[in-house]
Amino acid sequence: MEKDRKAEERDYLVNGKTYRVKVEDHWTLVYVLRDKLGLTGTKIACDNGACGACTVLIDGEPILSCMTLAAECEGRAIETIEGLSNGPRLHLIQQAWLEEHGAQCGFCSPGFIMTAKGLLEKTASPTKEEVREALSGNVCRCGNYDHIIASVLTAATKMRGEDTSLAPTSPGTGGTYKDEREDHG
Amino acid sequence: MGRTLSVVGKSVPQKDGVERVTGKAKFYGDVMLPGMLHMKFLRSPHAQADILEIDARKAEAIPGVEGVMSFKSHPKLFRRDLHYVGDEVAAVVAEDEETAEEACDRIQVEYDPKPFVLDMKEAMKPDAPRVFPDRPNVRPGWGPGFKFFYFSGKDPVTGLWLKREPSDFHGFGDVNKGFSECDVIVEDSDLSQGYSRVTTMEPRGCVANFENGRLTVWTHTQGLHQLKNDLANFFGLPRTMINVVSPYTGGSFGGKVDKFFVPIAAALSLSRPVKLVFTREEEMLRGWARGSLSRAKLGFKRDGRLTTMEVEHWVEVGPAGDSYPVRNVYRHTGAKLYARHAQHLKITAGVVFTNRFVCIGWHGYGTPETNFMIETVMDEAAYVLGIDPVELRRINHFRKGDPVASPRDVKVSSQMSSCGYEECLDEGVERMEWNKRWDHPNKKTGVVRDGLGMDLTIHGAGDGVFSSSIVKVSPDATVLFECAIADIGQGQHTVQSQIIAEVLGVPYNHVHLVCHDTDSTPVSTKVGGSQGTWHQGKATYDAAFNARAQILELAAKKLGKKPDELMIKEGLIYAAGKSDPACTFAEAFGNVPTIIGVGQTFPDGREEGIYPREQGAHFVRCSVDMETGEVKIQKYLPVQYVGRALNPKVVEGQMLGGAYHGLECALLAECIVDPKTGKMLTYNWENYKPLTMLDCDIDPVIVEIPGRDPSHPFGAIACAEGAVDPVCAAVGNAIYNATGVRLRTAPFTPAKVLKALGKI
Repeated sequence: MEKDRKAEERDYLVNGKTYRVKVEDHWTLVYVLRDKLGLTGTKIACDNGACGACTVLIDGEPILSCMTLAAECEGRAIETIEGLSNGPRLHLIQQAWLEEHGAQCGFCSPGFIMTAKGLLEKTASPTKEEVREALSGNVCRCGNYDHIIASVLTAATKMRGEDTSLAPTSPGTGGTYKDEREDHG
Repeated sequence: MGRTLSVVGKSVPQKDGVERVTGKAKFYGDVMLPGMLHMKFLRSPHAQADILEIDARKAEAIPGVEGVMSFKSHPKLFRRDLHYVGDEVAAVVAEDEETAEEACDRIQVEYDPKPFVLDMKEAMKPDAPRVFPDRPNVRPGWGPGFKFFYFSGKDPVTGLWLKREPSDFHGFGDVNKGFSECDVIVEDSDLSQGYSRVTTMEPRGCVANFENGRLTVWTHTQGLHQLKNDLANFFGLPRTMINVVSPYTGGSFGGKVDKFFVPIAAALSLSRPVKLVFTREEEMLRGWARGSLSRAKLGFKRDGRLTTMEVEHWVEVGPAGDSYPVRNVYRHTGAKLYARHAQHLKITAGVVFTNRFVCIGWHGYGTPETNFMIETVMDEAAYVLGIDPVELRRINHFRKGDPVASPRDVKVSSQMSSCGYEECLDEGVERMEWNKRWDHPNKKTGVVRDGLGMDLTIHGAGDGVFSSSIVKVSPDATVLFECAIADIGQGQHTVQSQIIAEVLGVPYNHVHLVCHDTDSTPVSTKVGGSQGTWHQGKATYDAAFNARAQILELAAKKLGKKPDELMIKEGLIYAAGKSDPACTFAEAFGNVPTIIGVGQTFPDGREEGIYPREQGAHFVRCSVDMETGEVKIQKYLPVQYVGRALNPKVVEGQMLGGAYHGLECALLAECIVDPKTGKMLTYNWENYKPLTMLDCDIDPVIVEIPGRDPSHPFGAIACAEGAVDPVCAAVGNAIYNATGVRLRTAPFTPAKVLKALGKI
């Protein structure tokens, strides 16, 4: 195949770090993030802008990185799921996701979390309906939507400083179980 | 002695949740290896054709192309006969995906196109074009070696059948005699669920590498060791020379069963890593399910007892011949859910081949279609009999000890281990305000009308072949837990780890799960058939119990007590009744560096003739616009009896997912093909629309009755596929309750509603 594809050296600011990448004109941002920078937390699912799995923030706005040319993003502040946690310290949204079981298989979680971050940075106290509206472009095939909405609302509470608990809270169902094998010696 | 639960029963976070929410979870698609090649398939443009000739020379000449594979080079992997638009013609391995795609375009293929058939009813006609020249399109039963069974000779004490013999239908009694003795007979036919798609977030594929004489395959799977064994058998490799790596699977729902022999064969012959990732269009081409056509005739006594059932059920399987969905007709229908008073049963069922894509499993695997049939006709019967739909279910639902006539039971028939239907119905009736809100459709007026619908679910659980778990306990009371069970989002990594923590008496965060590949784990059951919590759970329990006994033995020696006078809590050893710890693990272990516990579950409850069934009642309230035909779900309430919820949030998640997939099938999911060419028109997520957050509001209800089910150490029964099975009929029943018209073909799109109303 003729290798006459047009390419430019470009500088990218991703999660606060600058990377220089030789980028072909038709490459998408998600391709550069995953295949060139190794930032595989951002996922490709539908690959045509219909599911939100590839969502990253550009200058604070959620965008679909499978529908965005990498060439357009030079010099802009790109934030991916990898930029959210600081070493072992999780972002409050991620903590909320753990507590509320926002993930099932987890493939959609990075995209949902980035969309949620875009929402919560603008709207500190969203209603349930505002969450639904803002996240309706993201698909979760496990159908975990109710838990995802709960995750975003809990994250909002944490980010407003109203819930500082780090440990998951659940009363459980209590009760006892019968240790049959012990009973039978 | 009862033990107080400290970890089981709590919604502790996912065991591998941090990886999933930080993007650090490495799915197979995230694996990038030095020197990795990429594979692309060339697919058939014809719905039915033979390949006359393939010329790959132009493709092979492109720089960067490492190889072209077709029936010529790999007759075991490719066929000359093609049976759907998208069937595999050839594959290219190249330095990058773009080069592989370009090379596919340059392969010259001469096809001999043939007549094809795309519609299930058309395919059933005797003069229809055949999908496979050597066999008819219609095949009774589920596959070669299949047998229908006739059951007879009931044990007067247990009610179990004692005799099972081959027959040309499945069942018992004599339906002709049965119907002649019935007061009311209700029959309906042409009940059909649309051909719809499992479609997971993560596209299917794999990365294969052959290095130092060992094959490593990174992929998604529902059974790591089962896949390893399949690969060993196919390629003639020793099992120990293959490592299947699959720590995460981005959703599966029964659909990720591909074994990807083609890219693995390429990696084996090139000794370089090869990666294949399906595009979304390829994802949509392979893996349809649910296409069904059913007829049910139910005979009742005046008081509502269902005594006679005759069922005919056909499943469209495309050209693939994955006929498993048919098998579940027995596992559901009247043979099980409403067999309580049944004296006479006759089921005939089979598969229909068409040239539409490939049928594989999806969430429920054949059961949703049969549930739709039986629960639609039960609902019709309730109106005919003048009995409340809930009451009709109360009269007939399966109860503990009732016999199942299943061809799969090792014994002739088996009994259900516990029952929670009454509690589920009570809960649903109360939360839905059923008695207050339910009204006959004749009394509804206005443009937008509300309707209530409900039905029951039953699903096999407690199957499984072999499960094993290993725990290695260190003196610092941390635990390595080796378990290959696949977590495809359903929470098995979490639940199995909770069992370990609970039984060993250590904190949940002391349990480190080793699960990512076959090299480092013992064999687990394949997750499928909703068997993880039950089958694997028992092995995990035994592994922990075994290790605990050894620890208490050591502690007893050190403390001069008997093991049964000691207990473990929060990773410390206590004498019974004492609030201060007697010793640490390290003190008890002495010179012993590690304690190893092993647990295994051999074939399952079927052996014992008693095993659990997933159970529940689903309720729905919808509104129907009589002018636009739009159906809106106001409230969807899956209520399921789970014995004990080991992790309530995980169980809720299972119900959310099941109801979500069910609602998708009920409201809008359908495969659409171009009748002229056989080309799929619903090839992406714009044309085939997944439900979003705006489309569904599901309120799952867990019914726990700890101690009721004796077949599991924690009294847990499954909650998984049973959550998808009843949704379609529940919605259809609610639409009938709102409008007075019965919809027989799902999905219930506005056009179908208007047509049923006689408005278009």
